Amino acid sequence: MTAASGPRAGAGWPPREALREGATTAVAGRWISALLFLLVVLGTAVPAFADILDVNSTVSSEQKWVQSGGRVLVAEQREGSIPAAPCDALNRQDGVVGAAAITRQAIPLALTSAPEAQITLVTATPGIWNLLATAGLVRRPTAAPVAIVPATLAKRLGLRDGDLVQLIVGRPDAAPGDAEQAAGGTLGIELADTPIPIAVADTSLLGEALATGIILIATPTGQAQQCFVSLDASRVAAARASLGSVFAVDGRDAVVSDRLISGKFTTDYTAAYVSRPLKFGPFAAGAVIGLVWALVRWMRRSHDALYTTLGAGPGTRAIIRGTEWTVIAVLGGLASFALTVGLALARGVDGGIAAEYAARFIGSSLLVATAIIAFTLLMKPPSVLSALKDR
Amino acid sequence: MQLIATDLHYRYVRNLPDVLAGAQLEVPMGRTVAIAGPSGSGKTTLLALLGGLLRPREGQVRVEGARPETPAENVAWVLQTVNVLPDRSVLDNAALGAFGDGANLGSARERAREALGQVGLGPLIDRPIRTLSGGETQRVVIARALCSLRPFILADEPTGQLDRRTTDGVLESLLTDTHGKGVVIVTHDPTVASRCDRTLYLADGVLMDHLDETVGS
Repeated sequence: MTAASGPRAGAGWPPREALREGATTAVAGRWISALLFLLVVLGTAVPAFADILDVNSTVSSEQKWVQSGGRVLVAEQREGSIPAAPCDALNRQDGVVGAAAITRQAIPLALTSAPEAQITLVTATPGIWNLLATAGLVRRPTAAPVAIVPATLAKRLGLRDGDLVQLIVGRPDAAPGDAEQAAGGTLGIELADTPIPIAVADTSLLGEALATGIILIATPTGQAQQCFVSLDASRVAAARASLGSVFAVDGRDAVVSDRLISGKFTTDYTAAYVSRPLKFGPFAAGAVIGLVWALVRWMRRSHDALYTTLGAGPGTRAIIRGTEWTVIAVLGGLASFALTVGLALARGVDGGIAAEYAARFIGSSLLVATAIIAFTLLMKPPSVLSALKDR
Repeated sequence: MQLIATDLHYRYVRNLPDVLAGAQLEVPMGRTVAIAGPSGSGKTTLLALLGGLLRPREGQVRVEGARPETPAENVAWVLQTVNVLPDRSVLDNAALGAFGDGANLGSARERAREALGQVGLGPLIDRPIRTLSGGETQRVVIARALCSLRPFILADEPTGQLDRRTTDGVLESLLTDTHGKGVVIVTHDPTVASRCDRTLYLADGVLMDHLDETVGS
């Protein structure tokens, strides 16, 4: 393309007019433009929507698995107990989501509002908040002490999050206050003789044996029955190998096991995500769009030849066709994004997942298509003379 | 200023004889030249060489007195088949002829309106070009060539697909409205050729004033 300093024979197309010509062609293109627009919208929205449903399904399943104890290791001695302090200290380690030393107490627990209830008392070090909160199960308290009440128990007793309860620790017939003081001193828990607020939580992460008891926060000292450690996915294997020695007693490593039994039939969510069928969907969608564009361009080669006879060199023709594609790609991409996210939201997919994966899929598809189109624009065009005769 | 072709040789396939074998031509501005000859004699090939769409194997085409002298920058085309952008208006199609000379949209449209008026299509400028008849469309193509500042117009069978009455109208536009420009028309229609200032015949790869006389040698 020749730079134009002013109108004179053969001065060449001003770049601005080439841009305008491309945009006008896209808008005025009627059926061809509509076809390409629909191809961009449906060619990216349909597979993007399917991919989002797949990702959402994997994420939801993984989330449920994590909430029910996936990626949680339990360290304990076969006989005896483990030290509580190093367990709670794990909360300061990278890759540890939460860790708490937990003991199922033999002392019965009741409430003044339900003195006959036989409730299991569970004590846990403060790391229990990380253990439960990070999985989105319970909010952190603003003030201690707080009793964590399992959601199923709260429902049975008619309690709601934030209610005040007076605990009776010890014999059901013991007067409030006396027994608590005695038991608190033994268990390392801070008990008050006034009602305390409760946090209602899904504690199923701890397993059936512990998930039915009311949890009271204990100081991270002394001994505990088990150490529960929730980890980032990438740290599970290393922790499984090293945790035993952290809780060694008299030269005997602790036994470390997964909270949830896993085996060859256990779903590997990372693998499911990485190997999902539509992971490479953008390449296929982009290739189809790019090749259809190339086909349409071949069918309209007489138009390109016409531009050549009108003084449009290769650079000018690339600007015209590139602008035409850009207009269709941007409009089609936006429409596809809106359609994909709308469909995903209608199916109950999390908005963040829908927007992120729609943008990623559609953007990648259009980049692949653009690369193919750029390649076709660089290819040597057919003879102008023969193209002019091909109508 | 004149369009000069010197000793043009061209062949499509290496081992076949030349389609053009020493063709020579001079077209001054303001003159109309018809090139006649049987089908397959190389008329369109000669026109493509004159317009810079093909490069001669030997010989040269230049526009004496122009800067640059290369033909591609100095010719406008009126083609055998009706070559327009079908989804655009009459005005848009005509204005396309001006952009190659560096015109912006405003001046291109101004020139297009003037040219369309010259060929008698002033009232139709806002119509979609696909709604025009074949003859009207070909007159838009002539207006497109008039929009250009290029001094020469190359026309390849411009009336080849038109009936006699329409041919007369298109020919009138091409030969009269283009006053001042040099026009080369490839045609096999004797009526069209007879209305040009000069008629040349292409046979055996060379141009002749008559079928038995080589021109310009």
